[in-house]
Amino acid sequence: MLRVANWGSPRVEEDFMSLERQLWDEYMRARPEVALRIEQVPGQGLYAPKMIMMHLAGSMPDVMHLDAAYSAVFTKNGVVRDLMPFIEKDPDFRLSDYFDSALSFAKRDGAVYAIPWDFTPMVMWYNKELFDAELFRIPLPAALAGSLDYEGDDAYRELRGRLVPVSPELRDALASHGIEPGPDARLAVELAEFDAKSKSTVAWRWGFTHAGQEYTVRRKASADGTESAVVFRDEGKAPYPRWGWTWNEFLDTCRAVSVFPADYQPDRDLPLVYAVTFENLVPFWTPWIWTNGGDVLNPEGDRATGYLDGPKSVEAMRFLTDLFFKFHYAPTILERERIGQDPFMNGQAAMDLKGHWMMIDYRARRFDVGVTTIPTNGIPPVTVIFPVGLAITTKATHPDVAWDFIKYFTSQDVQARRMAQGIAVSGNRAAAERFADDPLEQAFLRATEIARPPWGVVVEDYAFVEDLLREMMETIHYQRRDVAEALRDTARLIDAALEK
Amino acid sequence: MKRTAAHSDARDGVACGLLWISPWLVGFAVFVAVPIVLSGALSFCEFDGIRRPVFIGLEHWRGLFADPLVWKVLRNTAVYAALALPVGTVLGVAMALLLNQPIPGQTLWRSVVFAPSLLPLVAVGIIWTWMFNARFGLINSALALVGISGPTWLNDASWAMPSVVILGLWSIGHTVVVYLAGLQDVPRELYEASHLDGAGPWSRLWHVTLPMISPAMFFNIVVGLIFVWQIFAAPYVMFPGGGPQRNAYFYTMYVYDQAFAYRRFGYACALSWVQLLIILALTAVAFRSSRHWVHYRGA
Repeated sequence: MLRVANWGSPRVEEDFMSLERQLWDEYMRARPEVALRIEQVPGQGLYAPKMIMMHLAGSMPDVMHLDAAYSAVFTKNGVVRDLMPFIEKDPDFRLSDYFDSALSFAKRDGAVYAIPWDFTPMVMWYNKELFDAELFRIPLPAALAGSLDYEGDDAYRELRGRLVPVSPELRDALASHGIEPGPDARLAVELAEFDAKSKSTVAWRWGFTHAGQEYTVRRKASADGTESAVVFRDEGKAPYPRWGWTWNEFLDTCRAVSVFPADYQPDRDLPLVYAVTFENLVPFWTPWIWTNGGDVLNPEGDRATGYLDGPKSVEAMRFLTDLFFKFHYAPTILERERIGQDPFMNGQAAMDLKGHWMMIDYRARRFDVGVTTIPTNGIPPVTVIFPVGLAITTKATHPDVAWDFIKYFTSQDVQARRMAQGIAVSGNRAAAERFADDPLEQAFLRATEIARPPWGVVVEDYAFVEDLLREMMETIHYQRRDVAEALRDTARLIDAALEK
Repeated sequence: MKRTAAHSDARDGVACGLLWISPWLVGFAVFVAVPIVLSGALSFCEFDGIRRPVFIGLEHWRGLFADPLVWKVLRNTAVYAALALPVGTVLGVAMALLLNQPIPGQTLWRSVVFAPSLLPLVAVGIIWTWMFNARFGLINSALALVGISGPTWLNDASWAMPSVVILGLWSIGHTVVVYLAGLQDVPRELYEASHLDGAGPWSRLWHVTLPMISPAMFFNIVVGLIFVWQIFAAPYVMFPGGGPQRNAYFYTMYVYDQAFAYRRFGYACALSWVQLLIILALTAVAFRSSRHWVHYRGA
């Protein structure tokens, strides 16, 4: 029996889980001699501790997921096997088929401890609709309400770019706003959402150009169920962020896209639209420190003083905290709770710093989103990458079968099917590049080139460091502690913890 | 001769008794006694779950007194115990008194009060995370109906502790059941006698009901004392990382984090032993004080 500890929980999208089950079934059909036992282990920081407990109890599975953020403890202590012997004797397998950026975390002293499964760099998502200016809306013309049904990726690619005539109602409405698309003008389908259950296209976005200006027509449903065609002037409020933008450009954008009540008082009111959202999850905000050339630890990963409390880090953290306290472009921890939901998902924030996994939710909510880099200050763009690999444990009872499983599940075909669900970028280069004509996927592939792994690749006790950083951010929010002081004290606490 | 036979019978009885409880004895030895002894030994070792344990003497025991988080979680847990236990006791008794009245739908009301205590604690934590949601939660929505703007329960440092106390009241059903059983055991003649003596409702409550259910109260207080000092699952779900400024970070959560998040198993064992000693001491105090306020019928 081959035991595989799968990282995931029932919370994961139903469609995604059904695909996973389908893939496991197919593997078992292809290898009737293998009895595959999948053991679901919840994520959210519990996977690594659970694996350590299984190691301690002598009940380690054959295959486990190696998450870069917690990998040091497994790779430095002989919990997972070096896969080089398997790679060297397998003529069908080439390490070069995988992204270096997704593989580097698993390499140490000539050994390879995991084969990339999937990964995500952290990127700045932006909601295009909040960057565009709404011009007008009209009841959805019958000619536009016709469905654009498609099924499958190829059909969707064919649909995108298809030209449809402008309906008379829309043409009249556009003319009354001085926009005359011309008698032969067509709307180009830029995005469509197909609902598999109703077998129809439930959302679409059409784009057209007039006098050098881009426009978007979106299908919107109101609370009472009526539908409208809404015309937006693209980038009417602020230009979409460029790749490699700067802190200053970011602040200009924040000013343009945030919306405050008429007599806004910070102690009383919440902004109507935040420029960017924030949550106190340490992996989500530490890249801000990197964007100014600062860092949490020294390159060896054994000291925080001189780095976390260094001038570059202090400046970066001041920039970040100014977003809450000075400009009110981002919600404080308390404001976020008052909002009650994720402001970006709610249409109350124009930008959000997250990973590829959000694609599932954004697709489900038919968000018109774009992706760019985290803004930097005088240095090239940089971000963090969270790769996950498949590893064979040292206590595996069937290492050869485990290797076969890893090869199968990291292969191009299997990976391409997983990636179509949107949870992450495939570690398999060819599988990921199959989706490269999608601008969002393209942006993620581009972001991998500027990404560096998290500190958990080097530091065994990084979970403890993260807890100290989270607490520091709380004291800044709740007690309005001076940033430099908070960083200095936390750096000392981290040093003491790492010394132990 | 008779004495020898009696001894033999007694020995047989003991052996038979031991045989009957042997499954429990084996389970207790393997899953409780041995881990307790091992945890005591590990508290003197550095052990990360992967490398072999290394003996370090009293380092953990000395270290925990200098650890500011230990004092923080001790304080939080003590404050929680000081709030949750009296409030839970008063509310539990009050609820039992109400449910003991001959009202229409009595069984239904009793089920309603008891049912929440059957829910798994993790599910309770998730439910209450939504109940306490500042914008969409039921509690703030109810407060808004009477013109009160509710707090940001889960992210306001000053409201984190009260929210855990309120959450604790959700599952007082099992204590209410014990009080109800106690109430139904109070002899009616005592009420009749006190009534004849001119005692009013409050006087009957104070001089008859409460003394007569004091054994049930004592049982609930001791069990509750142990429970509140071990509070873990629901706040762990509601306040990942201990909540705002760690104001909802309780002792067992810290033990868990030290062991399973930071892999400091030796230190976690030392912390567990301190917790055990605190609970033992408080239970001993409760037993000693019981002589003065617990009344057993016929004693």
